[in-house]
Amino acid sequence: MYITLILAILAAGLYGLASLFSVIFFFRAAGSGEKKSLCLAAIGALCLVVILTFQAFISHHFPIFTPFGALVFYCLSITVIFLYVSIHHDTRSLSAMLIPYVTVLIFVATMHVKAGQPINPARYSIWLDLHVLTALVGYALFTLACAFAVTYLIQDRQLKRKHFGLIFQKLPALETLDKLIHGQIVYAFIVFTVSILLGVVLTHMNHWQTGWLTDPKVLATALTWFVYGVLFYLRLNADQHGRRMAIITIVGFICVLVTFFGVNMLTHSIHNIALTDYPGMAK
Amino acid sequence: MNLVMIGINFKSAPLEIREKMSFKNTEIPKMLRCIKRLIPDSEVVLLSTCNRTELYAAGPTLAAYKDSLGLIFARGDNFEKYFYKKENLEAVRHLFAVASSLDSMVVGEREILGQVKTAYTCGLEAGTTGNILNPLFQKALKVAKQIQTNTDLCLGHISVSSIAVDFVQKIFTDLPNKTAIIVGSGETSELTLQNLVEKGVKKVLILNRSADRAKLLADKCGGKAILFDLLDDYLPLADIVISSTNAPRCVIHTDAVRKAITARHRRPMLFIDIAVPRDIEEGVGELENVYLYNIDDLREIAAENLTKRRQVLDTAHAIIQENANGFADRFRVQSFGLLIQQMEEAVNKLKEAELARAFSKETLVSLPEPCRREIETLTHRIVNRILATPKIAIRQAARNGQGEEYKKILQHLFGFENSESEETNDHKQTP
Repeated sequence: MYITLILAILAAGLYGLASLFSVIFFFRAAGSGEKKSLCLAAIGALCLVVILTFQAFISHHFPIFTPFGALVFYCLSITVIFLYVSIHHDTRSLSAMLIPYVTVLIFVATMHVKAGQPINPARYSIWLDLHVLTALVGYALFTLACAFAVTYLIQDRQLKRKHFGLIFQKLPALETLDKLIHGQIVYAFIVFTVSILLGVVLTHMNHWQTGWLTDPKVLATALTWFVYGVLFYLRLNADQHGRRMAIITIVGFICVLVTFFGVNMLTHSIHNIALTDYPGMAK
Repeated sequence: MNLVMIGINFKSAPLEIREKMSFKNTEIPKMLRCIKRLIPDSEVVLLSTCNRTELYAAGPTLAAYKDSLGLIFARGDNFEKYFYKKENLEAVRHLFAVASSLDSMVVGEREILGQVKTAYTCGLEAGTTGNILNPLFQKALKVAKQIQTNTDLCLGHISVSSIAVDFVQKIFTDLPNKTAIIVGSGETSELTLQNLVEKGVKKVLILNRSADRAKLLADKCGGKAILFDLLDDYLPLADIVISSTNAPRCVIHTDAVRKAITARHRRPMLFIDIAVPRDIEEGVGELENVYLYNIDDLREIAAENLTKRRQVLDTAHAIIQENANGFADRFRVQSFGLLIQQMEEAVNKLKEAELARAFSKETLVSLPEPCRREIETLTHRIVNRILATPKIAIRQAARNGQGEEYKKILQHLFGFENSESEETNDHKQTP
């Protein structure tokens, strides 16, 4: 546990430094500060990989069933996808928004470092791993889509209000952002759908009763899936672009936040104890 | 340093003279080699752009050729009155300012850095650069990059057409697949169109009440001329609309654009209204995903950018001054290296001669080899010790700007001045 804690603090420190760099250099006209920030974030991500590998080695399963593990994997996914996007598109300036967000989450995760929770072997299967993994990757992709959507709205506002200062210069073009939002949504929707299907498969495999249908997390997930489904349809079939699509993307992300964090914190869901025990389940 | 710069630019000469003085890329190496043949120990780089032609020359015997260099540069024409000449530190400062675009027609433009680099590479490939121009041009490129990175000098354009293109690039990225519509014609709209085509826009539609003018402009930019009355039908195709008609009323209406944007599935549209009175209804700018800018907006930005650039000029000049002084100091110390070398050679020559004379004497001729070596080492050590303090003093004096006084004294004491003037005379006779 102490090794995990030290590594988590190290990762949080690296991400904190990366956030500082990205924010400071966002407000500077020129320089390579954003590159340095991304390099630091990449090293921080490596620390997260080491944490997950170390925990997997100790607990003999993929360590994503605790709040700490889930947050670490979610942050790692965001960083890796963002670094990949930044290599192919001029989106480095967005690090001033994304890296601080990831940093806050890593600090929160660091406060929840615990020894691995025991898992009920009867409930655990590879499908459960895949179910959680795909959900977390989906969340990471939705997060990036939301970051691009927020940037789209900021740049749209700069253009409309004729503010052509540093923010206007630094942010990417609207078309780039529109394409990136679309790209993230397509992948996220597919991955998220796979996760939901895996969840359904799991309920059948475990002979659960219909109690899970009214579970808050399931309902929130259904709402999230519906919002992104609408977005998916509007873009793919109705070929819609622009501001409204960005707004719907942000609404979708609010649903993601509720599904990912809100339900766990505010309500009692079968997802919180699915690996140990649940009264409505057939034993 | 023996550095001379002769040049002609948009401030010193009219366009027709600049045209005559400009060099094609293929002509530059020939000119460089020609000067090198005439002044064998010289280094030369020729910078030729549409706004300036400058010759940078350096070498120990250059002073003797200063006048003929201008004639060679002008290729026999009598353009001396349009030339400006700068020497040594002033020439260094000038090159740094040119590379940093502080001396450009549009201050802050980035193209000049590439042009200076090309000029230097050309000199390098022609073998006409050396100990002076190599470090000088490398330093100039570094200083220009430092100014670009550390100041806002290159941020924001100051011409209306470039600002319009900036907007285009902040909305669209896939320019080859974008359609631009030009409504009416005018110098600024043509310039904007030209910039857009240069940036990669391939589909251009020209709408003008005069079919002939539309055809003319379409032929010029590889576009297609369309009847003016079909404007509303073609609007949904347009990603970029530049309007500059002489119409007394608006020709592009909000309703037409609203229909167009719906037909385009809300893909963004950019409208640039350069006309006075306006061609595009103000309501167009309030539509979602539609961005409208008129000539006042563009001029306002141009003025803002110009003010910002003026504010950073002082910082840029300070960077240039600091670097030019640093370069000159370093160079001064280096150039005194030659003097020190001459001094060492003279003393060593004396030492060798005296040793030879001593060893040839009867009393020492039978001296065993180890003893001879010991005496040689001893004299070598004495010479080095004697020269050590003067060497440090010369370098220090060079750094403090008193080098020339020391140089004269040393040249006088060691008799270098005669050999130097003889050398210059030799070079003068060579051509």
